[in-house]
Amino acid sequence: MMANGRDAKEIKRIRNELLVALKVVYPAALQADQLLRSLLVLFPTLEFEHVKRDLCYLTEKRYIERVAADSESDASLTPWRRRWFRLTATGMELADQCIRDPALDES
Amino acid sequence: MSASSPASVPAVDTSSAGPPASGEPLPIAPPAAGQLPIVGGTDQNATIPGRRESLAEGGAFKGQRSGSRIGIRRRMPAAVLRVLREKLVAAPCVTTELAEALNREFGLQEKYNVVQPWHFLVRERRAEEEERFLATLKDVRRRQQRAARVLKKTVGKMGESDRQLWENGAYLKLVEMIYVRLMENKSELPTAELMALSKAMAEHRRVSAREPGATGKEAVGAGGELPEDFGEVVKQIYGTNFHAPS
Repeated sequence: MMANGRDAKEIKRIRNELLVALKVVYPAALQADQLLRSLLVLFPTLEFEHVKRDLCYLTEKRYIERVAADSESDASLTPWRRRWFRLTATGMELADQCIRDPALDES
Repeated sequence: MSASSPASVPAVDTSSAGPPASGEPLPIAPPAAGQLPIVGGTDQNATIPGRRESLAEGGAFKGQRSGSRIGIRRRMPAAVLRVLREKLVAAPCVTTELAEALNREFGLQEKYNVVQPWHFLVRERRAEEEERFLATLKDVRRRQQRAARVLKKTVGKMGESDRQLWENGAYLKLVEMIYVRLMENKSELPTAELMALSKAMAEHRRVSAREPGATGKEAVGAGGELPEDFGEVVKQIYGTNFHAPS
């Protein structure tokens, strides 16, 4: 069991589901709040803080990127829940299983 | 078959005459080398693959392995297991006191070599949870596929052909609304969301019309208008758009 109360298998599942949700709307983006809502169907106990951590993780791995919409006057002031994220090209390759990442491999 | 045949081994040692004395072992002849005992009156030697080899190497039967390696269901009679399950399920939580009481009641450790009787329940529940998750995942995938089809048909080409749209607030909002609606399996669009979308698009049009090219958003057409097919897409989805009837 990991420190955040979820085991490695579930952490990987959540991260993969984030990628799959963003893949559906590619090349558009989804807001973090909507990502959480779509994940709650599968993980009813999921909290936004966990999604936030995973979004940071996937951004650092260059699988997703933040999109500053033209409606955001100051992107740095946008609340986390309202921030838009989209898949990068590498993220799309991973979601399409063209490339593999052992850290996200569920098998 | 004649009794003098060298290959013949009598099942009962008849050399000693008369009944055996009390306390003496019965004169059952030990199995000869290469001859396997028949277990349970059935010819398992022939039907269980590898048993002959296992026995020849001095190994034990499958049912004779050490207790820790055999599942609780195979060690414990079904009736006992059923009562044990009922007691465990009925308990609000499994404590060491409960485990000791069950051990005393059923003789779990002595009879069945079971130290932690709740483990089989944990495994069962995990399997049930996994099954439920996979069923939900299947449903989610079906909805996602449907959302992907609709998005590709309606706004997919716009986004693929026009990179600037990726940062267009109205475009993002439209995509998000379609995705969320289809994922939530709802057919109605709340007025609040429709108003939010209307405002986003109207604001976008107003800004674009005021400062053409200033924002660098080439997604909008000449004169600050949205792409030609944008209004058509909105009309298809919501039944109306912002264009005045010509």
